[in-house]
Amino acid sequence: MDENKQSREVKRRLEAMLECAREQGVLLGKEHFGDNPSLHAFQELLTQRQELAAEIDELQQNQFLDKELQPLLEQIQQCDRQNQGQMRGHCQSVRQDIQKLKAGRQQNQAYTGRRPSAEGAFVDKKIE
Amino acid sequence: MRIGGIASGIDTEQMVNELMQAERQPLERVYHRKVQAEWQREGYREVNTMVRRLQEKAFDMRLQGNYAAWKARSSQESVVSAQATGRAGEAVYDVDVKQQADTASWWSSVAGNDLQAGTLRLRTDSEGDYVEIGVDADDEIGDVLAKISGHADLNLQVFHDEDAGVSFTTRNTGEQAVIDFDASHEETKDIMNSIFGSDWNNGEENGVLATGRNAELTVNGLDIERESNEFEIDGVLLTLHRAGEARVTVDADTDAVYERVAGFIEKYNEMALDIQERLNEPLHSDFHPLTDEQKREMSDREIEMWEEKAQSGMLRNDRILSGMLSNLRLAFGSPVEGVEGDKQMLSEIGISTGSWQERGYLHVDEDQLRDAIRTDPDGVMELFTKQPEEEGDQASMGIARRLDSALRTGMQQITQQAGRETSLYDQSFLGNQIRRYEERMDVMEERLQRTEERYWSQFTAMERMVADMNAQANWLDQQLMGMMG
Repeated sequence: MDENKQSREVKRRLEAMLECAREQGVLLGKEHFGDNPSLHAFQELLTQRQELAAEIDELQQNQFLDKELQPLLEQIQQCDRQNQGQMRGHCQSVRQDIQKLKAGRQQNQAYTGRRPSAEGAFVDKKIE
Repeated sequence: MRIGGIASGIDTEQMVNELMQAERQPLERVYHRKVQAEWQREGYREVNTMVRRLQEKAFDMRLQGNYAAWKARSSQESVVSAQATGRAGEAVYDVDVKQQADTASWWSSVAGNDLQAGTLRLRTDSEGDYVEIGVDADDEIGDVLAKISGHADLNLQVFHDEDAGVSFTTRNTGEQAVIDFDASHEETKDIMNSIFGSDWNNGEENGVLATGRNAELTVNGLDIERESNEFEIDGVLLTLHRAGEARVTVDADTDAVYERVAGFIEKYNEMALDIQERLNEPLHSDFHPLTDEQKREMSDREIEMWEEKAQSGMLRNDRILSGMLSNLRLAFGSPVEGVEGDKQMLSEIGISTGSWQERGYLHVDEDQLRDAIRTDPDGVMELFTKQPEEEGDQASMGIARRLDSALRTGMQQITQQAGRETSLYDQSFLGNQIRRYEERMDVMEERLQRTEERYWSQFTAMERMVADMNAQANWLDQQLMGMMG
């Protein structure tokens, strides 16, 4: 493959990677990020990015990327930083909620320990 | 096993546990209600036990026999002792004991051991059938005597001494008691001859060796014979001890009636006081039932003090109990209509209520009550035991009957509310409520378990994503570093 074509293919994949990072950002911005559909979609984007990175590695064959792709890489990096920050934010906000609710709670087993049966009756089956 | 927090730096397990505790708040509320319902049920059942005891006494108080107590005295206890039953009446008996009743007794110094095998027929009741005792060829004298002594239908004492011989004594007294071996029965004769030789009947055909004796006495000049030394005359149990004269006097036993009535009032007061205390106990809504977990963090004294407060007021202002007390006060306080005598109210025999602060506590004027029992026993009896003029008519019903009815109603209502300790499946209101709380707790617990699973799956997924994001960030860093040379 000539160098120009190779460079175009790499660029196309990096652009796709940037698009993934932006979509991840949208998902992280949702209020109910912890819900299954959002988590599932986020995981798919991560997988997609993983595949794109693997394709880029194959196209480059241990060569470094062209310098002209640097702005694109930096854009992706910036998105990622924002996404990681948002992910930490989600975890922190959950933690704060928990701390508000924490006071005076009892250990789980205190209520749900096995209750002794006070009203059961044995049915005696006579063995002939 | 769950390992959280590696990628995000957050302790996921702690986070989930904390979140779960928050979810358990409603469970805690249901648990409190359930335990409080159990305490309430226990309180009701304790009251019901007291009510049942009092109701049993009230039931007895309905019976006229309890007001007709008699006391018998003998002027010579060594001649005759006397005990009055409920059937007795006021009377004087002059008793002259001529002779006591006696048992039938026979003995022989001859006791051969070369026994004839066969069947021995004998009886100790002159009007009864002969009893058959089997004698085997290898039986010795002791074996045969043991069979005779051990036979329940004979009721005979047997004494055997190798040197002195054998004696028989009936346990029953009177002329009907006999020691009679069947002399018309050949095997009996052969066996008796083999043991006692000619000593047993001196060759006569009649096998009656001894006959008991009746008691002979005169009561108020009338000749009387009895088979036993213990017998009843006009509801008085007499026991003869020796020949001689004595006077037996039967009087009304005012002490027994007084103790019965005053004892009942005392039991009522105990119960009423206990229920009043429960109705007025303060309710401490800030003191919830403790869980085992909470108890582990407290000392025994702290637990005791806490639970005392938490259990207080479980029956505060309870309508069933206060209603029952009102009915009892009404039963005690209102006049009995249609009595033949002049006593219509308890206050007329010395039983009265105190001030309103005492809430139905009854006071007994001992002198007045004793006097009423002594001077007008029928009036006192009627006041307590009178049958209603119409079925269920409370106004004309004796006080013990009213109380019995009010206590039964109370017991029924308490049982509907709290069931019985002995019932296999508690269908009462509280029993059903407790079951519903338990079911709710089970449902909530299941839901919490599902929620916990969901949280874990979310946090695990997020952890994995954070790790993937870190890896991808590293890849980008490498590309940029390579680009810079």
